Amino acid sequence: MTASLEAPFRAIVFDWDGTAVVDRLEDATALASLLATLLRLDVWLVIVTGTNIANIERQVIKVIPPVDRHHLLICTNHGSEVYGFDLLGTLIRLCLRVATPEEERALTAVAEAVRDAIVAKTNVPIDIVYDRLNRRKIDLIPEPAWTDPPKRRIGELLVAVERRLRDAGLSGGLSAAITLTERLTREHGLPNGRIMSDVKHIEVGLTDKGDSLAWLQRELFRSRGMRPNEVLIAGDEFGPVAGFAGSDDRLRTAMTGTVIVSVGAEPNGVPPGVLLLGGGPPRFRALLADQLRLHQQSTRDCAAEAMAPPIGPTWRLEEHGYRPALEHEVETRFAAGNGFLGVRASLAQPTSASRPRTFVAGLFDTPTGGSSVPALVPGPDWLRFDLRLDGDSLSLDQGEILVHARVLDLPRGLLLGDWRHRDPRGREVRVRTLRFASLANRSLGVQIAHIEVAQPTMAAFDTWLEPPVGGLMPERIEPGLATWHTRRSGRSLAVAHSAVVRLDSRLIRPASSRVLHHQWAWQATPRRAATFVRIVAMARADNEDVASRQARESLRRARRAGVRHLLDAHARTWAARWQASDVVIEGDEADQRALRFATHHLIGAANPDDERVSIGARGLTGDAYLGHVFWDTEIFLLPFYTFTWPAAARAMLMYRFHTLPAARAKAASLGYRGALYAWESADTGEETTPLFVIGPDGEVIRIRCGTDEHHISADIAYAVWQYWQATADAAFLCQAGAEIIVETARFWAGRATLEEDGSYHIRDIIGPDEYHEGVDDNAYTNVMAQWNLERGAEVATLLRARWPERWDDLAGRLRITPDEPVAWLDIGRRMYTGFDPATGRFEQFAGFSALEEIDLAAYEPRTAPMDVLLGREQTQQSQIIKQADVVMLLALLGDRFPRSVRETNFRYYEPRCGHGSSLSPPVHALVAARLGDTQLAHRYVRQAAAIDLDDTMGNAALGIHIATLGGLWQATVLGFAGLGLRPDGLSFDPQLPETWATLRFPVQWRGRALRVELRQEPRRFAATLERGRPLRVAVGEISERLRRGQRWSCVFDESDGQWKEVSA
Amino acid sequence: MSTPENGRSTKVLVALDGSPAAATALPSARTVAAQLGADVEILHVRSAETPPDGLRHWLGADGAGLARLRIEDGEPVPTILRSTDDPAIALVVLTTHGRAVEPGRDLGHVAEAVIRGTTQPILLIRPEAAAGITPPAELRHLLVPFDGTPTTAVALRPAAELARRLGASVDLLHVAGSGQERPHEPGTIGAPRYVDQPQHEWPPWTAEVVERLGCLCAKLPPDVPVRAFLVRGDIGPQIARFAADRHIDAIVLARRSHLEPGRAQALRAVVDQTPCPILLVGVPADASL
Repeated sequence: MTASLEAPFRAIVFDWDGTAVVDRLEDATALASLLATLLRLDVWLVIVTGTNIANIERQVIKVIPPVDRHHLLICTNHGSEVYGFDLLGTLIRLCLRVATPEEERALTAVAEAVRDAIVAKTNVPIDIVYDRLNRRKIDLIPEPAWTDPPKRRIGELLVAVERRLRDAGLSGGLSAAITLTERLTREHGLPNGRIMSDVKHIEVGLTDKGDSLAWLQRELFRSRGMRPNEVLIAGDEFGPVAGFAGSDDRLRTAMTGTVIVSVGAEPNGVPPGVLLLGGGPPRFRALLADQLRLHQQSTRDCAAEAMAPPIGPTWRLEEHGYRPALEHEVETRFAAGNGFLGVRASLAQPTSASRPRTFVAGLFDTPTGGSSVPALVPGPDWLRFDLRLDGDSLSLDQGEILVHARVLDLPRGLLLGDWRHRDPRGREVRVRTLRFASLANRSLGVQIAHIEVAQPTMAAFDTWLEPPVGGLMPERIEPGLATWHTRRSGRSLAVAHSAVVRLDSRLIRPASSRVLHHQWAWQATPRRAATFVRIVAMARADNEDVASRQARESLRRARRAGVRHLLDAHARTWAARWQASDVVIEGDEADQRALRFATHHLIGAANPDDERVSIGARGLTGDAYLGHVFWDTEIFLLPFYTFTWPAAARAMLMYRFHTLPAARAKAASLGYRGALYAWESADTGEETTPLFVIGPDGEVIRIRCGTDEHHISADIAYAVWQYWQATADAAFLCQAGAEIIVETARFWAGRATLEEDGSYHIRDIIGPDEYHEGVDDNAYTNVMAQWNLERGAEVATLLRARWPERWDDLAGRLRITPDEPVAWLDIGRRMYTGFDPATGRFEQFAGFSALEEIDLAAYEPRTAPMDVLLGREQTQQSQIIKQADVVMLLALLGDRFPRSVRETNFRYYEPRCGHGSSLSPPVHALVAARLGDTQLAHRYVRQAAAIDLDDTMGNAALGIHIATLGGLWQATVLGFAGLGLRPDGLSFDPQLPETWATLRFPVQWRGRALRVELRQEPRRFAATLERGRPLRVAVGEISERLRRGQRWSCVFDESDGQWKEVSA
Repeated sequence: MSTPENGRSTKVLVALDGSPAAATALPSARTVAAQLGADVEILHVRSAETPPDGLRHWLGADGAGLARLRIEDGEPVPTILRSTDDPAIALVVLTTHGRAVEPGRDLGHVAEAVIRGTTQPILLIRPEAAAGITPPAELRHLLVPFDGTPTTAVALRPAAELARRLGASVDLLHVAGSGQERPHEPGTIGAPRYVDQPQHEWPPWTAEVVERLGCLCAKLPPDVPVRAFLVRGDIGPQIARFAADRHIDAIVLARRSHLEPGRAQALRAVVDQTPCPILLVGVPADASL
């Protein structure tokens, strides 16, 4: 074997046709087996090919077990696409070069100009292949004998093409045709156009294999610290053919220092730097077999591989450097969570800018001094460590930061850190870290640190559990276990913990161990990395013994399983969630990243196993909002869970069921029957809204939401009904959902009063527009109440008919008389809604139209909400709306109103909205998208995405705006895709923003899993039923009953504005 | 003798041109010097334009023995700037203008040149205002307007140390108005664009401002009481109103190197609209106010 091939390569990049296989018909089973074995050893294998993914999928991917595919990448279509696989082996497109319409036109123009010029000169037929991604193929020999020539006939093909062109008058033959193509490509405005030829065709495109390699350098080699000599490139055509560079030559030119081999015949030799092996595909397979042996003999560093960031820029969030002023925002954005634990991305060696927090869902307590408002109390900081070199603590504040990077690994739910530092005495050290809150076992937190030094030094490593910052009282502190309890709410938190340090794969003994504190010391030398692993198991219970037992048992199981297993289980659970919820946007990287960021935090916020908690306004990512749960959860978050993770949605609705007694008590305290949910809810469901706050100008602001904002009861009923419609979860409806709907309907029946005009009115209320307090007949509240009353009656009828025993039980317990549901219907029918048939408008509340109109545009640009700029009093006297109010109604109950009403109201209220709430932009995006105003909708999507992702907003420091992220998902799936519920399935009304080439997402309905794909140009819709019994899918006016595995495609006919079926 | 600060005596330098206007700086200089435990050094730059009558008059009336008087001949600006190089000087006290009041200029040319020419903290007194009000007994309550950017907050660091030595509390004030572009500097925290629930937004917002801009960027020591405020309107009038309402003793501004008409709007607005002394502290030349 050649010396340069005697090392195990970390990545092998290879051409497909002619290198790996003879042709696309060859049986690649044996090759696939070899590839799978290498993949299992974490070798990255990259296929670089000019063909499309379907050909590779058919020939090789399907015979590689899904579980082995994670390190396989496929660069297709001459550098225009890159595909990878998630941890479950599902194919994911990681990169797509989307041509602009101008580029598409230019490619066609070049191809046609070349064809016309050759035909004019030779009068021989020349064809063009148009339907290729980002390229056009000019067929120089469109003859049946040369339809699909195998590579081995390239010599004959060259002779035939040259003869055809030269004999007909193009004396320069193929070379002249290529020169002509190059000139015309420049002249048509494509100076960076790529010209390629397989002899039969001249291809003019936007990308080539060099782009594949550039992507690999950026996304794979660099991010994993691969040196050039750790990468092998293999092809079969590096040398020139007919005077122009071989098809693999671009792989060579983009890399220096890499080992490059050719297994091709290479009749004209190979360029310098390419090792000619020859032998074709059999030689390539022998090369792979050698690599397999070398890898099996080598020792691998698993921790280092696990700490590598994910492939694909939209699958990660990165922060480089350390800027104290940004630290709180970074801690929020990069927070890790699993619905039980929420861990801000604070540094393990905190600086003065750090605000470390670990939150445990449901761990509420009421402070002893000052405020009487219950708040989520932080748990201990379990991530602390201190690394000392010859006694000096390593610190960001001292010495020189060489590299400081944090990466949120979205697909695996990991926070990765890479810190290289030169201390004041010139010693260099690299500390790579990984942490996660396990999605596979929510009680677990895992932290790994990988420490490498550049010079020999005595290293000491201290770790400890930092006691909670306040709110918790220590109860039991003993080796491996610490427990705390809340002061008033009777909750206990137990933390069982273990930590080890390995050096050369061997555990080293702690130099000292105290109850919460461990220290290790070792002689550190270069290339001798130490790995620290800490596992914590947390448990919350009403009893300290129970919490301790649970935490200990969880830790015991985790230690037995091992950290590698914990990491794998966590990553695979994340992969399963991504498979059920990933929204893929092609053509707009910023939006794709925003949607993945949103989906990541939504997945990490929920816990389907705990019915006693729900998601607070900032999730478990920050102190703000005290962990309180608002209407945000049901209206902005629930749809995501209902349609992608019904078990999580169910648990959140069960939280509302368990807090129903408190809602009944609140209604009763105001003199009403039924259930009025707390505007702000913590663990018990009692009202926890503060009564006042000191404003930023020092004035005291009275807060009336807790007493006067009642629409939350209808909002919760709405979420219950939507969940029922989408899941048909009869057990939930009978056990909990019906009771919520009935009790909230009963509340509205008492809250609305019959007045002289014969209508029911709701007076002295606050709607979603909280700038206007104490108003009468808020349209949103009244119509939602009307809807709630109707559903109350419907649920009563439904239960009576289908589950009479359940109804009897419910009616008996709640003393619902037979005529009560009838009365609800009557009240709903006579509810005043503020709708004016003459204008087609709802009046937001009685008297709104008479308020002062203010031109909001005149205040732009502005940095503050309008109520801050104008003052509360003037804002209340104006038509400025804080957030979607009537527009919210259009979002939730749009189906009740004709399009003209939706259009009229949106156009009237949208310019009056000051968007003083982060909830507002995504709702406006949703409604605008449904109305077909995709440009406006897209602007609102960008505005919503910026709230947490834009560095200049400052808002993110206090915690993630989780409801806005849920709103982003809704704007995309319910807005742009136009997802709607039907009694027998799902409907769609797709209208994509201009920059989105495609939109793909999964959705669940009553046990079925549907995958939807939308395309911009030409406007297409496709749906595939992946799981479950048949369901009906509708787009526009047509529908199809899909069977499992069936894909249904439709195209929008612009001529008549109708969707047409393409294939069934 | 002054009280040593870090083992070194400190001085408050007052630059006078002999005019009654300039002399209005002296009461404030004495107050702040007493707070800092520093000596007052009066620098009188004698030139053809500056007859010493006013100075003699003031010294006679107020007691020359309380301050060290240094009289130098030469051009005022270079002479004053040379004197500010003394490392013992903790603060320079100036009036916005002295003998010559220049129409259309809110800052006299000497004050403007000194502000531009030194990195020493400067306490700027408006003579007309100072003449009409009782000078503050002590500088115990400082107002720091901020634009939300870390750069400006970092520039205010010298004020943090002064606040500690003065034993003063600090109010951070952001003035939000329409027509303002949000600064693009990462880490900026101005008025929040979204206030979902005021009861949950304002307390953490003020805490974040104090922590991020006050403690992290401006390095306000933990023993300096700090609060953050947000008001709406035009910068100058709002700062003036806030200063009056909150009984502010001095307003701290980050100094700009560019003081041409049309630049340093906040400084000019504050000079124009509030009688409060202004404490100008050093700032990198490229920072914005």
